[in-house]
Amino acid sequence: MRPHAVPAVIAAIALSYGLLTVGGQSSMGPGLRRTADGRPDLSGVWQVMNSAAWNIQGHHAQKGVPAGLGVVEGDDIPYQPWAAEKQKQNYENRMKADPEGKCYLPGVPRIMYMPFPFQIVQSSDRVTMLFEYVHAIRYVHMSGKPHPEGHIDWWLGDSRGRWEGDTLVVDVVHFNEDTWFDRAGNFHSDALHLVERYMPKGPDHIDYEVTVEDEKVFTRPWTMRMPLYRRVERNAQLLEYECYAFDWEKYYPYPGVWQEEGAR
Amino acid sequence: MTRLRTFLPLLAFALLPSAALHAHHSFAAEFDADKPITLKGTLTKIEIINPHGWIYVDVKNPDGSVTNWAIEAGSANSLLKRGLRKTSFPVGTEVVIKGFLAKNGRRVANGQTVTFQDGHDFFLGSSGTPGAPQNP
Amino acid sequence: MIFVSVRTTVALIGVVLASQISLPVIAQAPSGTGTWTGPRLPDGQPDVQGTWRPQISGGRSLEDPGVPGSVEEQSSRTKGLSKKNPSRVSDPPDGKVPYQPWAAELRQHQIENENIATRQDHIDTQARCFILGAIRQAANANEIIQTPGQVVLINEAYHTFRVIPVDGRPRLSSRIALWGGDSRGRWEGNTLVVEVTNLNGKNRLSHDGDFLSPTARLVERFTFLDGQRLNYETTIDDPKVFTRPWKITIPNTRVKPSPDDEPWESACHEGERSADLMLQEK
Repeated sequence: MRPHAVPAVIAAIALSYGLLTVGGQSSMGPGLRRTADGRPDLSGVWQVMNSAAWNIQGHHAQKGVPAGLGVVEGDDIPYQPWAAEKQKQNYENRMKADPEGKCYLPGVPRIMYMPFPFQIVQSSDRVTMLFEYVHAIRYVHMSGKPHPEGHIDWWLGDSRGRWEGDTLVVDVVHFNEDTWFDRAGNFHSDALHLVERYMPKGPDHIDYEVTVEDEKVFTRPWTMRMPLYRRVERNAQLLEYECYAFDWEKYYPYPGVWQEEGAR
Repeated sequence: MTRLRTFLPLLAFALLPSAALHAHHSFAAEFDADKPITLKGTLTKIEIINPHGWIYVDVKNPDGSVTNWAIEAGSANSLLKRGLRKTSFPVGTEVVIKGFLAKNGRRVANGQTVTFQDGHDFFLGSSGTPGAPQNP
Repeated sequence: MIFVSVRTTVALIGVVLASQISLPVIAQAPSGTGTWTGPRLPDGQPDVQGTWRPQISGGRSLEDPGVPGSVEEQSSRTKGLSKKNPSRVSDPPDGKVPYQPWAAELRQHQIENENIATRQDHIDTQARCFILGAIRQAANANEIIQTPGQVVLINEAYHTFRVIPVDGRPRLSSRIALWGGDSRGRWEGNTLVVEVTNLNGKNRLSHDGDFLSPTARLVERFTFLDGQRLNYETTIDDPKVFTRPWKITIPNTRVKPSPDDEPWESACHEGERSADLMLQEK
């Protein structure tokens, strides 16, 4: 049979398609993995490496609290005078007054810098964030639908995202006033409005920036910035931190049943 | 701001196919189906929270004293997705609440419906109660 | 220009395409599974994304599932007067969970006391907002999202999720005991087979108080049929609690996607007051 005239270029295209997609390496960015629609693929297990959850401003160590360089741009939080006083009171009472001490959902952005890993699951119409801390979930809706009419009192707000080039920009509103930004008593009202920017800088590193607006509490918007690091160890996965179950475990499944350490 | 009159009547509201509302705990663990109650009073507070929302009502007793009752409602999303917001019911609104009394003797009830002075009804009940959205 | 035969070109393209599939596709599926003829994701997984709802929803009971429709029905069921739904227990054929006698007694005590709770252990783990665990989560609607090498199940209510790796990774250290256990999955044709170990045995599987031990091993089979039906079946192997392995079967149907529908936050612990209200004064 005479060979048909098939240009080698077709075979070459097929092979180069294979090179582009096997291992997910893109020829476009510096080693960024991309989804089928060309966006950076943020899927995976991530975690911060800082002590912002204790104090978002620069701080020295205390017993049980590591020191921190601070994640607030300019290290200054522009409180209105009444709010600056309130933050001081919060700080004095922090061991009892911090809502996170009751294992409540820590709010946004605090949940992003809690000292636990979280997992990003990226679909085309939604970026879902799964947190090891109290198995929290953030839904970042990418469908283009606007925020629902308000006001809604949510712990983690309502998140609407879009891509600006390779940056994921997320607008968050509909907060309750029951969370703090850190253990140091930095706080907000239900007028809180955040704009987050997730800027991948390589396959294992995202620069996370969040601008905070709250006209009831601050005199102007202010910004926090920190890297998110991919958990690169083999087989990284989320475990659990069932914070509010620790005090009740002894009753379950029934008192005296499987209670000895290492029952398994 | 969402207004009361823009609420669609319950029957006209399409069932939402999102995740099912599994009963957080059984009705009978907390309330007595043999003790229906009707309360007339004024609204003092509304909390649209999970696992159950709560509506608080000042009820005048026969002797003239006032007791604040806590009325358990459905989950936050079952209320929010039907258009309810905390500003929908102004404090002081006169309401009639039908429900079932709590078992423990406290001034708590499981709310089925709340009716306003103009006759407008809003369904409060959590799943596992009559007419609840997505009731399997 | 180089000329190659059509056969060679087709073979070349076939080699390139085959290299895209990173999961093994077992040529001969074990009995009970079928072939998958639907769409596939880039990593080769069958695409089963979407929301799936059990035909009878709710973790009220394994042997008499479903949430009754009215206050009157709930009341009559509590008094033992109402008609029962078919048991979720598909094996043994009598539909009863095959407890050892000591375990059956514990569950019976919980059934009798759930509605007249006087002790902390009479309060169900779901009422306390603890992680549901695989079986209880399977009794409610789940959204399935897939990413390369993973299947994620999300229960919107009370923010529960399960991440099931299908990338062949090893099990966790046996020293790690979790409320939701640890899942390892693989695809066999149209069936996602998941083994769950590393359980802490603390959560209840139902309002009735069903439970298992930290050494329990679950083998789940999520069989996806015709794009609209999911048959969930799990085998529970736990000689510490039961007299034999047993099975739960939960048929599901796909929920038609609606553009108006999105999952929203569903907190639990923060607003939980029922436990306090359920405890009766003695």
